[in-house]
Amino acid sequence: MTTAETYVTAAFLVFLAVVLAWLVIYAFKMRRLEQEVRELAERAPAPTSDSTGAPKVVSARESDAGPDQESRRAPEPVR
Amino acid sequence: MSLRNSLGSVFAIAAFAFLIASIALAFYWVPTDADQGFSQRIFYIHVPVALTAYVCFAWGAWKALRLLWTGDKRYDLESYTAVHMGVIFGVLVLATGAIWARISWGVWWSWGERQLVLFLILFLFYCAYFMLRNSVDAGPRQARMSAVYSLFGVVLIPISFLAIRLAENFIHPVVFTRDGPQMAGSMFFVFCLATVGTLALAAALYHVELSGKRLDLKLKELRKAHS
Amino acid sequence: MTRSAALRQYASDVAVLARKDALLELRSRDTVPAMLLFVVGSLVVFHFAVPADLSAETERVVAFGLLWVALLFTAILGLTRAFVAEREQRLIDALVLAPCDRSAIWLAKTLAVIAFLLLAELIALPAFALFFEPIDGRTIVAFLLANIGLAAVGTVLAAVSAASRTRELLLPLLLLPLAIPIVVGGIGASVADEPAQFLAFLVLYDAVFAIISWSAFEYVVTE
Repeated sequence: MTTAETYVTAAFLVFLAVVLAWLVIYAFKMRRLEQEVRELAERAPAPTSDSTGAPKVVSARESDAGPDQESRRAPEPVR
Repeated sequence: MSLRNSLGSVFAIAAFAFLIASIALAFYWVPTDADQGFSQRIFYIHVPVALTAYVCFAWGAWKALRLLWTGDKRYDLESYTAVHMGVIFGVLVLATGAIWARISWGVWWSWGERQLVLFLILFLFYCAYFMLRNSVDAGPRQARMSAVYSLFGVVLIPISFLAIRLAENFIHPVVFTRDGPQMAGSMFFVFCLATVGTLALAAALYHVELSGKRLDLKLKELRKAHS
Repeated sequence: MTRSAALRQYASDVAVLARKDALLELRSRDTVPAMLLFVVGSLVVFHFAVPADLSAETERVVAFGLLWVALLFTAILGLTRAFVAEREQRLIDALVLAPCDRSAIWLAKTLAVIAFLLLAELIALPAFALFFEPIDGRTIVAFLLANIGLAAVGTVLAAVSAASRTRELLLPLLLLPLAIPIVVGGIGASVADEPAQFLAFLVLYDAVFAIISWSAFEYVVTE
Protein backbone atom coordinates (compact mmCIF):
# COMPACT_ATOMS: atom_id res chain seq x y z
CA MET A 1 0.00 0.00 0.00
CA THR A 2 1.15 3.52 -0.69
CA THR A 3 1.20 6.13 2.06
CA ALA A 4 -1.96 7.73 0.74
CA GLU A 5 -3.76 4.39 0.73
CA THR A 6 -2.67 3.72 4.31
CA TYR A 7 -3.96 7.06 5.51
CA VAL A 8 -7.28 6.75 3.67
CA THR A 9 -7.80 3.29 5.12
CA ALA A 10 -6.87 4.63 8.54
CA ALA A 11 -9.52 7.34 8.24
CA PHE A 12 -12.21 4.77 7.48
CA LEU A 13 -10.95 2.58 10.31
CA VAL A 14 -11.16 5.52 12.72
CA PHE A 15 -14.79 5.87 11.72
CA LEU A 16 -15.36 2.18 12.39
CA ALA A 17 -13.48 2.36 15.68
CA VAL A 18 -15.59 5.23 16.99
CA VAL A 19 -18.80 3.41 16.14
CA LEU A 20 -17.48 0.26 17.82
CA ALA A 21 -16.42 2.26 20.88
CA TRP A 22 -19.96 3.58 21.10
CA LEU A 23 -21.20 0.00 20.90
CA VAL A 24 -18.90 -1.12 23.73
CA ILE A 25 -20.01 1.77 25.94
CA TYR A 26 -23.59 0.91 25.17
CA ALA A 27 -23.04 -2.75 25.99
CA PHE A 28 -21.80 -1.69 29.43
CA LYS A 29 -24.76 0.61 29.85
CA MET A 30 -27.18 -2.15 28.90
CA ARG A 31 -25.55 -4.47 31.42
CA ARG A 32 -26.00 -1.84 34.11
CA LEU A 33 -29.63 -1.31 33.17
CA GLU A 34 -30.24 -5.04 33.22
CA GLN A 35 -28.67 -5.22 36.67
CA GLU A 36 -30.90 -2.41 37.90
CA VAL A 37 -34.00 -4.05 36.49
CA ARG A 38 -33.06 -7.28 38.25
CA GLU A 39 -32.58 -5.47 41.54
CA LEU A 40 -35.91 -3.73 41.18
CA ALA A 41 -37.64 -7.00 40.28
CA GLU A 42 -36.15 -8.64 43.35
CA ARG A 43 -37.29 -5.81 45.53
CA ALA A 44 -40.82 -5.65 44.12
CA PRO A 45 -42.30 -8.98 45.41
CA ALA A 46 -40.57 -8.63 48.81
CA PRO A 47 -43.69 -7.49 50.74
CA THR A 48 -45.55 -10.76 49.87
CA SER A 49 -42.76 -12.99 51.15
CA ASP A 50 -43.38 -11.93 54.74
CA SER A 51 -47.12 -11.81 53.93
CA THR A 52 -47.60 -8.29 55.25
CA GLY A 53 -48.00 -6.69 51.86
CA ALA A 54 -49.82 -3.41 52.06
CA PRO A 55 -52.93 -3.35 49.89
CA LYS A 56 -51.48 -0.55 47.79
CA VAL A 57 -48.47 -2.61 46.83
CA VAL A 58 -50.59 -5.65 45.98
CA SER A 59 -52.87 -3.69 43.70
CA ALA A 60 -49.87 -2.18 41.96
CA ARG A 61 -48.48 -5.65 41.36
CA GLU A 62 -51.77 -7.04 40.15
CA SER A 63 -52.05 -4.44 37.46
CA ASP A 64 -48.50 -5.30 36.53
CA ALA A 65 -48.40 -9.08 36.51
CA GLY A 66 -52.03 -10.16 36.44
CA PRO A 67 -53.90 -12.10 39.16
CA ASP A 68 -53.00 -15.62 37.97
CA GLN A 69 -49.28 -14.91 38.12
CA GLU A 70 -49.89 -13.53 41.56
CA SER A 71 -51.35 -16.82 42.79
CA ARG A 72 -48.46 -18.75 41.26
CA ARG A 73 -45.92 -16.60 42.98
CA ALA A 74 -47.58 -16.62 46.39
CA PRO A 75 -46.51 -20.11 47.64
CA GLU A 76 -42.85 -19.47 46.82
CA PRO A 77 -41.67 -18.53 50.34
CA VAL A 78 -43.12 -21.81 51.71
CA ARG A 79 -40.85 -23.95 49.57
CA MET B 1 -43.57 2.44 20.55
CA SER B 2 -43.40 -0.36 18.01
CA LEU B 3 -43.32 2.16 15.19
CA ARG B 4 -40.39 3.90 16.81
CA ASN B 5 -38.56 0.63 17.29
CA SER B 6 -39.11 -0.42 13.72
CA LEU B 7 -37.95 3.02 12.59
CA GLY B 8 -34.71 2.41 14.46
CA SER B 9 -34.21 -0.93 12.72
CA VAL B 10 -34.95 0.59 9.33
CA PHE B 11 -32.31 3.23 9.97
CA ALA B 12 -29.82 0.61 11.11
CA ILE B 13 -30.37 -1.53 8.01
CA ALA B 14 -30.17 1.50 5.74
CA ALA B 15 -26.96 2.63 7.43
CA PHE B 16 -25.42 -0.80 6.97
CA ALA B 17 -26.38 -1.06 3.30
CA PHE B 18 -25.48 2.47 2.27
CA LEU B 19 -22.23 2.63 4.21
CA ILE B 20 -20.95 -0.73 2.95
CA ALA B 21 -21.89 0.20 -0.61
CA SER B 22 -20.36 3.66 -0.44
CA ILE B 23 -17.12 2.45 1.17
CA ALA B 24 -16.74 -0.29 -1.43
CA LEU B 25 -17.45 2.11 -4.26
CA ALA B 26 -15.18 4.77 -2.77
CA PHE B 27 -12.26 2.36 -2.71
CA TYR B 28 -12.75 0.32 -5.89
CA TRP B 29 -15.02 2.11 -8.31
CA VAL B 30 -14.74 5.88 -8.15
CA PRO B 31 -12.05 7.36 -10.45
CA THR B 32 -9.00 8.74 -8.69
CA ASP B 33 -9.02 12.50 -8.37
CA ALA B 34 -6.65 14.01 -10.94
CA ASP B 35 -5.50 16.74 -8.62
CA GLN B 36 -5.12 15.11 -5.20
CA GLY B 37 -4.74 11.47 -6.15
CA PHE B 38 -5.86 8.62 -3.95
CA SER B 39 -5.93 10.69 -0.77
CA GLN B 40 -8.97 12.56 -2.04
CA ARG B 41 -11.02 9.49 -1.11
CA ILE B 42 -11.09 10.59 2.54
CA PHE B 43 -13.59 13.10 1.21
CA TYR B 44 -16.20 10.31 1.08
CA ILE B 45 -16.07 9.89 4.83
CA HIS B 46 -14.96 13.32 6.09
CA VAL B 47 -17.58 15.48 4.44
CA PRO B 48 -20.63 13.21 4.99
CA VAL B 49 -19.68 12.91 8.66
CA ALA B 50 -19.41 16.70 8.92
CA LEU B 51 -22.83 17.15 7.29
CA THR B 52 -24.28 14.58 9.68
CA ALA B 53 -22.82 16.42 12.66
CA TYR B 54 -24.44 19.66 11.49
CA VAL B 55 -27.76 17.87 11.06
CA CYS B 56 -27.48 16.45 14.59
CA PHE B 57 -26.76 19.86 16.10
CA ALA B 58 -29.64 21.38 14.17
CA TRP B 59 -31.94 18.55 15.26
CA GLY B 60 -30.90 19.11 18.87
CA ALA B 61 -31.62 22.82 18.57
CA TRP B 62 -34.98 22.11 16.96
CA LYS B 63 -35.93 19.83 19.86
CA ALA B 64 -34.66 22.49 22.28
CA LEU B 65 -36.92 25.03 20.61
CA ARG B 66 -39.84 22.61 20.91
CA LEU B 67 -39.05 22.20 24.61
CA LEU B 68 -39.08 25.93 25.25
CA TRP B 69 -42.20 26.27 23.12
CA THR B 70 -44.31 23.49 24.60
CA GLY B 71 -42.63 22.79 27.94
CA ASP B 72 -42.92 19.07 27.23
CA LYS B 73 -39.99 17.49 29.03
CA ARG B 74 -39.55 14.58 26.64
CA TYR B 75 -37.92 17.01 24.20
CA ASP B 76 -35.11 17.50 26.69
CA LEU B 77 -33.83 13.96 26.32
CA GLU B 78 -34.26 14.13 22.56
CA SER B 79 -32.28 17.35 22.34
CA TYR B 80 -29.58 15.99 24.63
CA THR B 81 -29.25 12.78 22.62
CA ALA B 82 -29.06 14.68 19.34
CA VAL B 83 -26.31 16.93 20.68
CA HIS B 84 -24.47 13.86 21.95
CA MET B 85 -24.63 12.32 18.49
CA GLY B 86 -23.41 15.59 17.03
CA VAL B 87 -20.39 15.55 19.31
CA ILE B 88 -19.54 11.96 18.40
CA PHE B 89 -19.65 12.81 14.70
CA GLY B 90 -17.83 16.08 15.40
CA VAL B 91 -14.94 14.15 16.95
CA LEU B 92 -14.91 12.00 13.82
CA VAL B 93 -14.69 15.11 11.66
CA LEU B 94 -11.69 16.30 13.67
CA ALA B 95 -10.02 12.89 13.44
CA THR B 96 -10.56 12.34 9.70
CA GLY B 97 -9.74 15.99 9.02
CA ALA B 98 -6.45 15.64 10.88
CA ILE B 99 -5.59 12.57 8.80
CA TRP B 100 -6.45 14.44 5.60
CA ALA B 101 -4.26 17.36 6.65
CA ARG B 102 -1.44 14.92 7.31
CA ILE B 103 -1.62 13.41 3.81
CA SER B 104 -2.14 16.66 1.96
CA TRP B 105 0.20 18.98 3.83
CA GLY B 106 2.25 16.77 6.11
CA VAL B 107 0.89 18.26 9.32
CA TRP B 108 -1.75 16.92 11.67
CA TRP B 109 -3.41 20.26 12.13
CA SER B 110 -3.91 23.22 9.84
CA TRP B 111 -5.54 26.46 10.94
CA GLY B 112 -6.06 27.19 7.26
CA GLU B 113 -8.78 24.57 6.99
CA ARG B 114 -12.00 26.36 7.89
CA GLN B 115 -14.16 23.37 8.58
CA LEU B 116 -11.65 21.87 10.99
CA VAL B 117 -11.33 25.12 12.93
CA LEU B 118 -15.10 25.46 13.06
CA PHE B 119 -15.46 21.96 14.42
CA LEU B 120 -12.83 22.67 17.04
CA ILE B 121 -14.88 25.65 18.23
CA LEU B 122 -18.07 23.59 18.16
CA PHE B 123 -16.33 20.81 20.05
CA LEU B 124 -15.37 23.27 22.79
CA PHE B 125 -18.88 24.68 22.81
CA TYR B 126 -20.68 21.37 23.11
CA CYS B 127 -18.23 20.07 25.72
CA ALA B 128 -19.31 23.11 27.74
CA TYR B 129 -22.89 22.01 27.07
CA PHE B 130 -22.19 18.71 28.80
CA MET B 131 -20.47 20.53 31.67
CA LEU B 132 -23.57 22.66 32.03
CA ARG B 133 -25.87 19.66 32.13
CA ASN B 134 -23.67 17.96 34.68
CA SER B 135 -23.47 20.86 37.06
CA VAL B 136 -27.17 21.69 37.23
CA ASP B 137 -29.57 19.46 39.15
CA ALA B 138 -31.89 17.48 36.92
CA GLY B 139 -35.28 19.05 36.47
CA PRO B 140 -37.22 21.44 34.29
CA ARG B 141 -34.70 24.21 34.85
CA GLN B 142 -31.80 22.07 33.70
CA ALA B 143 -33.80 21.20 30.62
CA ARG B 144 -34.54 24.83 29.83
CA MET B 145 -30.96 26.01 30.42
CA SER B 146 -29.57 23.28 28.18
CA ALA B 147 -32.16 24.15 25.55
CA VAL B 148 -31.18 27.81 25.58
CA TYR B 149 -27.51 26.90 25.33
CA SER B 150 -28.04 24.57 22.39
CA LEU B 151 -29.98 27.32 20.63
CA PHE B 152 -26.94 29.55 21.13
CA GLY B 153 -24.92 26.77 19.53
CA VAL B 154 -26.90 26.56 16.34
CA VAL B 155 -26.57 30.32 15.89
CA LEU B 156 -22.88 30.11 16.69
CA ILE B 157 -22.26 27.77 13.72
CA PRO B 158 -22.81 30.30 10.90
CA ILE B 159 -21.41 33.18 12.97
CA SER B 160 -18.22 31.25 13.70
CA PHE B 161 -17.90 30.21 10.09
CA LEU B 162 -18.07 33.86 9.08
CA ALA B 163 -15.58 34.77 11.80
CA ILE B 164 -13.11 32.13 10.62
CA ARG B 165 -13.35 33.41 7.06
CA LEU B 166 -12.83 36.97 8.22
CA ALA B 167 -9.93 36.01 10.48
CA GLU B 168 -7.99 34.73 7.46
CA ASN B 169 -7.70 38.34 6.36
CA PHE B 170 -5.41 39.29 9.17
CA ILE B 171 -3.96 36.07 10.57
CA HIS B 172 -2.50 34.66 7.37
CA PRO B 173 -3.56 34.31 3.78
CA VAL B 174 -5.07 30.99 2.78
CA VAL B 175 -2.45 28.81 1.20
CA PHE B 176 -4.35 25.56 1.06
CA THR B 177 -7.68 25.18 -0.58
CA ARG B 178 -9.58 22.09 -1.44
CA ASP B 179 -11.76 23.76 -4.04
CA GLY B 180 -10.32 21.59 -6.77
CA PRO B 181 -11.92 20.87 -10.12
CA GLN B 182 -15.60 20.06 -10.28
CA MET B 183 -16.62 16.66 -8.98
CA ALA B 184 -17.34 14.03 -11.58
CA GLY B 185 -20.85 12.57 -11.61
CA SER B 186 -19.71 9.24 -10.20
CA MET B 187 -17.90 11.00 -7.36
CA PHE B 188 -20.99 12.94 -6.47
CA PHE B 189 -23.05 9.76 -6.54
CA VAL B 190 -20.76 7.99 -4.07
CA PHE B 191 -20.67 11.09 -1.92
CA CYS B 192 -24.48 11.11 -1.77
CA LEU B 193 -24.57 7.41 -0.89
CA ALA B 194 -22.10 7.98 1.92
CA THR B 195 -24.06 10.97 3.21
CA VAL B 196 -27.29 8.99 3.31
CA GLY B 197 -25.39 6.17 5.04
CA THR B 198 -23.91 8.34 7.79
CA LEU B 199 -27.21 10.12 8.31
CA ALA B 200 -28.96 6.78 8.70
CA LEU B 201 -26.24 5.61 11.07
CA ALA B 202 -26.68 8.73 13.18
CA ALA B 203 -30.45 8.21 13.20
CA ALA B 204 -30.08 4.58 14.25
CA LEU B 205 -27.64 5.43 17.04
CA TYR B 206 -29.92 8.27 18.08
CA HIS B 207 -32.87 5.90 18.42
CA VAL B 208 -30.93 3.35 20.43
CA GLU B 209 -29.40 5.94 22.69
CA LEU B 210 -32.70 7.71 23.19
CA SER B 211 -34.48 4.56 24.26
CA GLY B 212 -31.53 3.72 26.51
CA LYS B 213 -31.73 7.13 28.17
CA ARG B 214 -35.50 6.83 28.55
CA LEU B 215 -35.10 3.44 30.15
CA ASP B 216 -32.49 4.84 32.49
CA LEU B 217 -34.78 7.66 33.53
CA LYS B 218 -37.73 5.34 34.00
CA LEU B 219 -35.65 3.04 36.18
CA LYS B 220 -34.51 5.97 38.30
CA GLU B 221 -38.13 6.99 38.82
CA LEU B 222 -39.12 3.44 39.73
CA ARG B 223 -36.25 3.23 42.17
CA LYS B 224 -37.35 6.44 43.83
CA ALA B 225 -40.93 5.19 44.03
CA HIS B 226 -39.80 1.94 45.66
CA SER B 227 -37.43 3.37 48.22
CA MET C 1 -52.67 49.74 28.80
CA THR C 2 -51.66 51.33 25.53
CA ARG C 3 -48.56 50.30 23.70
CA SER C 4 -46.59 53.42 24.56
CA ALA C 5 -47.58 53.23 28.21
CA ALA C 6 -46.43 49.63 28.34
CA LEU C 7 -43.16 50.61 26.75
CA ARG C 8 -42.72 53.43 29.27
CA GLN C 9 -43.44 51.00 32.09
CA TYR C 10 -40.86 48.58 30.68
CA ALA C 11 -38.27 51.34 30.42
CA SER C 12 -38.85 52.47 33.97
CA ASP C 13 -38.56 48.88 35.21
CA VAL C 14 -35.25 48.57 33.44
CA ALA C 15 -34.06 51.90 34.84
CA VAL C 16 -34.96 50.92 38.41
CA LEU C 17 -33.24 47.55 38.11
CA ALA C 18 -30.13 49.02 36.51
CA ARG C 19 -29.95 51.68 39.19
CA LYS C 20 -30.11 48.93 41.80
CA ASP C 21 -27.02 47.30 40.28
CA ALA C 22 -25.16 50.58 40.08
CA LEU C 23 -26.04 51.38 43.69
CA LEU C 24 -24.95 47.96 44.90
CA GLU C 25 -21.63 48.38 43.13
CA LEU C 26 -21.17 51.91 44.48
CA ARG C 27 -21.72 50.69 48.03
CA SER C 28 -19.71 47.48 47.95
CA ARG C 29 -17.06 48.39 45.32
CA ASP C 30 -16.42 44.73 44.66
CA THR C 31 -16.42 44.28 40.92
CA VAL C 32 -15.14 47.35 39.09
CA PRO C 33 -11.89 47.84 41.07
CA ALA C 34 -11.13 44.14 40.58
CA MET C 35 -11.71 44.47 36.84
CA LEU C 36 -9.47 47.54 36.61
CA LEU C 37 -6.65 45.93 38.52
CA PHE C 38 -6.98 42.72 36.52
CA VAL C 39 -6.91 44.38 33.10
CA VAL C 40 -3.86 46.50 33.89
CA GLY C 41 -2.14 43.54 35.52
CA SER C 42 -2.70 41.35 32.50
CA LEU C 43 -1.34 44.04 30.18
CA VAL C 44 1.84 44.08 32.25
CA VAL C 45 2.06 40.30 32.12
CA PHE C 46 1.59 40.41 28.35
CA HIS C 47 4.59 42.69 27.97
CA PHE C 48 6.75 39.79 29.06
CA ALA C 49 4.99 37.40 26.70
CA VAL C 50 5.82 39.40 23.56
CA PRO C 51 9.34 39.05 22.21
CA ALA C 52 11.12 42.36 21.68
CA ASP C 53 12.52 41.70 18.21
CA LEU C 54 9.27 41.53 16.26
CA SER C 55 8.71 43.58 13.16
CA ALA C 56 6.54 46.66 13.69
CA GLU C 57 3.57 45.19 11.83
CA THR C 58 3.67 41.84 13.66
CA GLU C 59 4.07 43.55 16.99
CA ARG C 60 1.01 45.62 16.26
CA VAL C 61 -1.13 42.56 15.51
CA VAL C 62 0.18 40.67 18.53
CA ALA C 63 -0.33 43.62 20.87
CA PHE C 64 -3.91 44.17 19.78
CA GLY C 65 -4.56 40.47 20.02
CA LEU C 66 -3.39 40.51 23.61
CA LEU C 67 -5.48 43.59 24.36
CA TRP C 68 -8.61 41.83 23.16
CA VAL C 69 -7.79 38.72 25.14
CA ALA C 70 -7.21 40.86 28.23
CA LEU C 71 -10.56 42.53 27.73
CA LEU C 72 -12.34 39.22 27.25
CA PHE C 73 -10.90 37.84 30.49
CA THR C 74 -11.76 41.04 32.32
CA ALA C 75 -15.33 40.75 31.07
CA ILE C 76 -15.47 37.17 32.33
CA LEU C 77 -14.12 38.31 35.69
CA GLY C 78 -16.84 40.94 35.95
CA LEU C 79 -19.57 38.60 34.74
CA THR C 80 -18.78 35.94 37.33
CA ARG C 81 -19.75 38.55 39.91
CA ALA C 82 -22.85 39.69 38.04
CA PHE C 83 -25.38 37.53 39.87
CA VAL C 84 -23.55 37.01 43.16
CA ALA C 85 -25.68 39.48 45.12
CA GLU C 86 -28.86 38.03 43.64
CA ARG C 87 -27.82 34.52 44.55
CA GLU C 88 -26.51 35.14 48.04
CA GLN C 89 -29.48 37.20 49.15
CA ARG C 90 -31.95 34.97 47.27
CA LEU C 91 -32.88 38.14 45.42
CA ILE C 92 -33.33 36.43 42.09
CA ASP C 93 -36.47 34.63 43.25
CA ALA C 94 -37.96 37.94 44.30
CA LEU C 95 -37.01 39.55 41.00
CA VAL C 96 -38.61 36.72 39.06
CA LEU C 97 -41.79 37.11 41.10
CA ALA C 98 -41.85 40.88 40.66
CA PRO C 99 -44.60 42.18 38.36
CA CYS C 100 -42.25 43.14 35.56
CA ASP C 101 -41.25 41.43 32.36
CA ARG C 102 -38.32 39.08 33.05
CA SER C 103 -36.46 40.34 30.05
CA ALA C 104 -36.30 43.68 31.86
CA ILE C 105 -34.05 41.98 34.42
CA TRP C 106 -31.80 40.87 31.58
CA LEU C 107 -31.73 44.31 29.96
CA ALA C 108 -30.94 46.07 33.24
CA LYS C 109 -28.17 43.63 34.10
CA THR C 110 -26.75 43.90 30.60
CA LEU C 111 -26.68 47.68 30.85
CA ALA C 112 -24.91 47.45 34.22
CA VAL C 113 -22.32 45.05 32.79
CA ILE C 114 -21.77 47.36 29.81
CA ALA C 115 -21.21 50.25 32.21
CA PHE C 116 -18.66 48.21 34.19
CA LEU C 117 -16.87 47.22 30.99
CA LEU C 118 -16.77 50.84 29.85
CA LEU C 119 -15.15 51.82 33.15
CA ALA C 120 -12.57 49.06 32.73
CA GLU C 121 -11.83 50.20 29.17
CA LEU C 122 -11.52 53.78 30.32
CA ILE C 123 -8.42 52.61 32.17
CA ALA C 124 -7.31 49.78 29.89
CA LEU C 125 -7.20 51.64 26.58
CA PRO C 126 -5.05 54.57 27.79
CA ALA C 127 -2.81 52.10 29.59
CA PHE C 128 -2.49 50.10 26.37
CA ALA C 129 -1.70 53.26 24.41
CA LEU C 130 0.95 54.13 26.97
CA PHE C 131 2.56 50.69 27.10
CA PHE C 132 2.15 49.36 23.57
CA GLU C 133 0.45 50.94 20.56
CA PRO C 134 -1.60 54.08 19.96
CA ILE C 135 -5.37 53.61 19.94
CA ASP C 136 -7.46 54.93 17.05
CA GLY C 137 -11.15 55.54 16.54
CA ARG C 138 -11.95 52.21 14.92
CA THR C 139 -10.62 50.32 17.94
CA ILE C 140 -12.83 52.38 20.24
CA VAL C 141 -15.88 51.71 18.06
CA ALA C 142 -15.01 48.01 18.03
CA PHE C 143 -14.81 48.00 21.83
CA LEU C 144 -18.17 49.74 22.14
CA LEU C 145 -19.74 47.12 19.88
CA ALA C 146 -17.98 44.20 21.55
CA ASN C 147 -19.22 45.35 24.96
CA ILE C 148 -22.80 44.95 23.81
CA GLY C 149 -22.32 41.43 22.52
CA LEU C 150 -20.24 40.27 25.48
CA ALA C 151 -22.67 41.71 28.02
CA ALA C 152 -25.75 40.36 26.22
CA VAL C 153 -24.53 36.77 25.99
CA GLY C 154 -22.58 36.96 29.22
CA THR C 155 -25.55 38.00 31.31
CA VAL C 156 -27.59 34.99 30.26
CA LEU C 157 -24.66 32.64 30.85
CA ALA C 158 -23.87 34.30 34.19
CA ALA C 159 -27.45 33.62 35.27
CA VAL C 160 -27.02 30.00 34.14
CA SER C 161 -23.77 29.51 36.01
CA ALA C 162 -25.12 31.23 39.12
CA ALA C 163 -27.77 28.51 39.28
CA SER C 164 -25.29 25.68 38.78
CA ARG C 165 -23.42 23.74 41.43
CA THR C 166 -20.02 24.74 40.09
CA ARG C 167 -20.93 28.46 40.12
CA GLU C 168 -18.13 30.67 38.79
CA LEU C 169 -16.24 27.76 37.31
CA LEU C 170 -18.84 27.22 34.63
CA LEU C 171 -19.06 30.70 33.14
CA PRO C 172 -15.69 30.88 31.33
CA LEU C 173 -16.30 27.44 29.81
CA LEU C 174 -19.69 28.49 28.53
CA LEU C 175 -18.64 31.90 27.32
CA LEU C 176 -15.26 31.33 25.67
CA PRO C 177 -16.48 29.50 22.53
CA LEU C 178 -19.21 32.07 22.09
CA ALA C 179 -16.73 34.92 22.49
CA ILE C 180 -14.36 33.75 19.74
CA PRO C 181 -16.27 35.64 17.00
CA ILE C 182 -16.14 38.81 19.11
CA VAL C 183 -12.39 38.54 19.46
CA VAL C 184 -12.02 37.92 15.72
CA GLY C 185 -14.18 40.94 14.90
CA GLY C 186 -12.39 43.11 17.44
CA ILE C 187 -8.85 42.26 16.40
CA GLY C 188 -9.79 42.57 12.74
CA ALA C 189 -11.33 45.99 13.31
CA SER C 190 -8.18 47.10 15.14
CA VAL C 191 -5.52 45.85 12.73
CA ALA C 192 -7.00 44.96 9.32
CA ASP C 193 -6.74 47.23 6.31
CA GLU C 194 -10.49 47.31 5.88
CA PRO C 195 -12.05 47.54 9.33
CA ALA C 196 -15.56 48.19 8.03
CA GLN C 197 -16.43 44.55 7.43
CA PHE C 198 -15.24 43.60 10.90
CA LEU C 199 -17.32 46.34 12.50
CA ALA C 200 -20.30 45.18 10.45
CA PHE C 201 -19.64 41.66 11.67
CA LEU C 202 -19.66 42.86 15.28
CA VAL C 203 -22.96 44.63 14.65
CA LEU C 204 -24.39 41.40 13.24
CA TYR C 205 -23.17 39.42 16.24
CA ASP C 206 -24.63 41.97 18.67
CA ALA C 207 -28.00 42.01 16.93
CA VAL C 208 -28.35 38.23 16.65
CA PHE C 209 -27.22 37.38 20.14
CA ALA C 210 -29.00 40.29 21.81
CA ILE C 211 -32.30 39.10 20.34
CA ILE C 212 -31.74 35.49 21.41
CA SER C 213 -30.53 36.45 24.86
CA TRP C 214 -33.38 38.88 25.36
CA SER C 215 -35.98 36.26 24.53
CA ALA C 216 -34.23 33.34 26.22
CA PHE C 217 -33.42 34.91 29.58
CA GLU C 218 -36.86 34.19 30.98
CA TYR C 219 -36.36 30.43 30.56
CA VAL C 220 -33.07 30.54 32.43
CA VAL C 221 -34.20 32.31 35.59
CA THR C 222 -37.64 30.82 36.18
CA GLU C 223 -37.69 27.86 38.53
